[in-house]
Amino acid sequence: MEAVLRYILDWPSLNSFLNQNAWGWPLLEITHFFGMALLFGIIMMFDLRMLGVAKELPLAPFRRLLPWSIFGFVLSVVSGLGFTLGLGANLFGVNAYDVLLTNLYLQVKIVLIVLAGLNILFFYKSGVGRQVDEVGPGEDVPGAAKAMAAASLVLWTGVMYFGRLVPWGL
Amino acid sequence: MGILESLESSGFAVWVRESPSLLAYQLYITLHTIGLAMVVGVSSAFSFRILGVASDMPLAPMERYLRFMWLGFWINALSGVVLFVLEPFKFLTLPVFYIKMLAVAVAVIAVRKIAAQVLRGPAAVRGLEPAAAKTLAVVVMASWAVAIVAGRVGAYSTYIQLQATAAAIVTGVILAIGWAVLGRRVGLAEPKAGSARSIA
Repeated sequence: MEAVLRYILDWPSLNSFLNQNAWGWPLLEITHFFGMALLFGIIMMFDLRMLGVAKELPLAPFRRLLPWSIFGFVLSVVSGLGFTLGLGANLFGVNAYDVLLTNLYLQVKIVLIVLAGLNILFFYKSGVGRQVDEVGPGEDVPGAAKAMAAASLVLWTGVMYFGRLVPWGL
Repeated sequence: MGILESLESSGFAVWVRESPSLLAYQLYITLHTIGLAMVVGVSSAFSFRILGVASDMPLAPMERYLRFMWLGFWINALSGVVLFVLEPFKFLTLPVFYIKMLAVAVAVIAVRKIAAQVLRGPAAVRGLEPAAAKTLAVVVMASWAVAIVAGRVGAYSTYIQLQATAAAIVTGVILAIGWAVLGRRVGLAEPKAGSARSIA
């Protein structure tokens, strides 16, 4: 199992690419920050609307902004995988497996991402998402949606906080 | 001793620089990250809406998010001042630091114009976004892009700064081409002309 994970979590071509091109790592960082801003900023606005901020906004059209948040998530995941699979280039041959096993901040961050993902899944699968779509200007969302919005704000803020701390957990 | 030297060698600055406490350097760097997401995220949403995404959504109520954008801005201004006084002379000798500050200033001016003229002005009442508003939206996005790139590459040597900036521009161009080709299909661009209603 460990050998398989060590093999999966290291991409030698990416390692040597990042070793030979010093701009690779900062480009991953820039992409990660952009992705984070799009992901969090737009989710935060959607959550705040459900919590009662900018209540004059109808929620169905608001959902048309969410693809940009998903795009931000994609940018974050791609650059984040770049850090992980190419870690050896930055940390002299260290395998991401060892970091995942020992870095408490990274572990907390991953758990929070999973929880935030489950929260979104639950939002849509439980039918709350459909109820929220019907919410027009000046109307309140159901209580369950408010609870999920509050959870989402806390979880994604935690993802950013612990994510930024990862270098100190090494 | 000048004011910057005394700040740099003050007990507070030494503690923030050197303490392993989560309330020292790590607090200010995490605040700076979260603030960035608030400012850039909210102003990006304004820009996307003005550029035609989610054009059914009324513009005027989006004004309520300004306070959260400014909250993010002040979190970053204050955490930024702390991070600056830790190593003021390093930052003052970095050309990218001045570029970042200039880009932030341009973005703030453009966002303030969007707030005054688009979100609170007559355009909001009519639900219109004139060409000038679209220009402002592009200026906001471009300025934050410059600020993020300049802020991030400042941690590297000059040669890598230039390379990474070039790489970021190339990446941006590739993403822009991808957006032009696929944007409509995946919901990242305004619908085809004719189905868009709110453009004057």
